[in-house]
This record gives sequence, C-alpha cells and structure tokens, in this order.
Amino acid sequence: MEDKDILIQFGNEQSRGSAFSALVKKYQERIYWHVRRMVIDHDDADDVVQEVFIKIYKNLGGFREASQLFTWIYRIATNESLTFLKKKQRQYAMPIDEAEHELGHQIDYSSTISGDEIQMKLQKALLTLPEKQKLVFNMKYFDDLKYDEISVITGTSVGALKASYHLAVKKIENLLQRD
Amino acid sequence: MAEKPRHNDLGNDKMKQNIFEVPEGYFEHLHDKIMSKVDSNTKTSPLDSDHLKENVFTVPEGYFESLPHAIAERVNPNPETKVIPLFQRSWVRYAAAAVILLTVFVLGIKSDDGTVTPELSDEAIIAYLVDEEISGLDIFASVDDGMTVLQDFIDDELGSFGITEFENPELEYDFEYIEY
Repeated sequence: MEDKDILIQFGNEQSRGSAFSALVKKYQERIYWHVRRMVIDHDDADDVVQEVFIKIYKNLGGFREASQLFTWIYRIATNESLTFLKKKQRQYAMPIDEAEHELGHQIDYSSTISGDEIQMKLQKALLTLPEKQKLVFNMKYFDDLKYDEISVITGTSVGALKASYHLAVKKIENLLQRD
Repeated sequence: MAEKPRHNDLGNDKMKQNIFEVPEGYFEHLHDKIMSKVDSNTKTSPLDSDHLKENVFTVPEGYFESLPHAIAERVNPNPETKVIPLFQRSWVRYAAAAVILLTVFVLGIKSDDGTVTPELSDEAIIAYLVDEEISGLDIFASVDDGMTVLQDFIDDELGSFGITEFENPELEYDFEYIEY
C-alpha cells in the first residue's frame, strides 16, 4: 500500500486498524534493522521497535506530511534508539568503555549474531564510535540513505553529516587495518 | 657583407636540443615511483567490500510474522484493562490522603481531654482505621459534601484520561536527543 493511501485510511476510524497494520508490515523490517544495529541485542531491539510503532500510532494523526512518512518514521526510531541507550547506560550506571565491553561480549557470544572475522571486527569497531556518529555511519553505509534524507531524520546539516561520516570512516578503517 | 646568424630560427636543429637535465638514475627509478603512486591512489578501503555490508544479525524464527500482532495488542489492549489501573491508582491515592486528613480531624475532636491532637502519627491513624474497620467511603459519607468531593476526584481522573486517549495532544513528534 502506498504511504498516501495508508495516511488517508488511517484518518478514517473505520479503516484505521487495517491502515496501521499495513504500515507496520511495510516498515517493520527496515526499522528493526536500523534499531538493532544501534542496540545490538535482539530483545532490546524488539522492545524499542514496539515502542516506535506505538509512538507512530499515537502521533500519526498529527503527521503533516512536511517530510516523507519514511523519514518521519526513521526519525522516531532513531530517537527511541538513542533514548533507550541513554536510559540503559543510566540504569546500570555504566561507564562508556564498560558499556562497549558489554556490547562487544554480546557480539562474540550472541546466538543471533553470526559473521566472519572481518564482519565481527567491523561490528566491534562500530562500538568505539560515539552513538550519534555511529548512527550517521549506519544510515549512510548500511542503509544507503542520502545525506539529504539523513539530514531530515537527524535535523543536522548535510555538511556536518559529511564531516561526521568522514571521521567515522577514517576511524573504522584504522581499526580494521590494525591486527 | 656576411649574414648575421639567426638564433631564433626554428628551423635550426640546435634549437631542438634539450637543455634540461635530470638527476642521475632518474629514469631507472621513475617506473617504480609511478607504480607506487598508482597503488596508493587506487588502494581500496576495507569498507569498500560489499561483504562488510552484509547483515550479521539474525532474528528468532517467525519474528517478523508475529511482530505486527504484538504491536496491535499493545496499541489496542482490552478496554477494561486500559481504564481501570489509571483510575484505581489515582482514586486510591486521593482517597488515602482524604482518609488521613479526615481521620486527624475526627480523632482530634474525640480526644479525652477535648483538645485537637493533630500530632498523631500516620501509623497510629492507620492502626485505628484497621481496628475500627472504617473504610475511606465511610468517612467520605460521614461528612458534609464528602461524596461530592469524592465524585469530583473521580470526574477529574476520568476527564484527564479521556483527553490523552482521544485528542492526541502530541501533534508533532518531540525529537529530544539529536542535537549537534
């Protein structure tokens, strides 16, 4: 179903449920992978994704189509992921390097993460990036989003995003080339 | 009269002679230098590999089939469970506060020496209420306008719930943490 049809049907109380169901089915995987790359753990990603769609349900009536539906949804998912990571860090009063170690442990031993040596090395290298830089890297590198789209999602200028991505790439390349 | 030599004659072969020199052994090493430059310019980043873009994360089997149902359950829960907890929690809080205040008043005017005793502890008041099996509703009913006050509390609670449930006050999503 096209986004505009989803929005029209969501506005009608009779078809709201089916429109929302169509929206979830259309975007759930993209949003899940976006969130998962940020929070790493499947159960955490599941919690965040459900919260994202509940936020979408509550706020979709006020969506004014100033941006594409997809970027708006990404924006919510991005914010929820960062909020989750912040809360988790606060909840366990965990220093950043300890949190990095914990996530690195999950990458090594989780049953829902599987990759070869270089792929795992990349995932661990990503843990060393500040969260917002990692976010920009993920959207550009894995999701192939354009800078214009990332700019709308993050509310950041294209120039700042390019600089952020460039720094992230340099750092990751150095870490990947290190033995 | 002898003709003056014409140094600017481009037809003169001497004009074509190379007057520039290169350091000794320059051409012997030029090839290696060029190849080294080419290598450094075309050296690929490890990130250029599509292999690194592959998804290393997996989900439990059937996860994406069950996710829409899990979300729908949370978006449209059973209406009874939706309303009761919020109402009860607030009702109990206000009723408990009212019970304590009214009990201080009631116990105070019934003291043996006829004086008001507002310094009674909460524990003493609760113990008294338990002993006497006095409910919050009994106390509300025993004072003038008590039931009206209780009804106002209930109306306030239901009213605020109604707004958040049906009017959707968040017209624009508040984006908190992305700021550069």
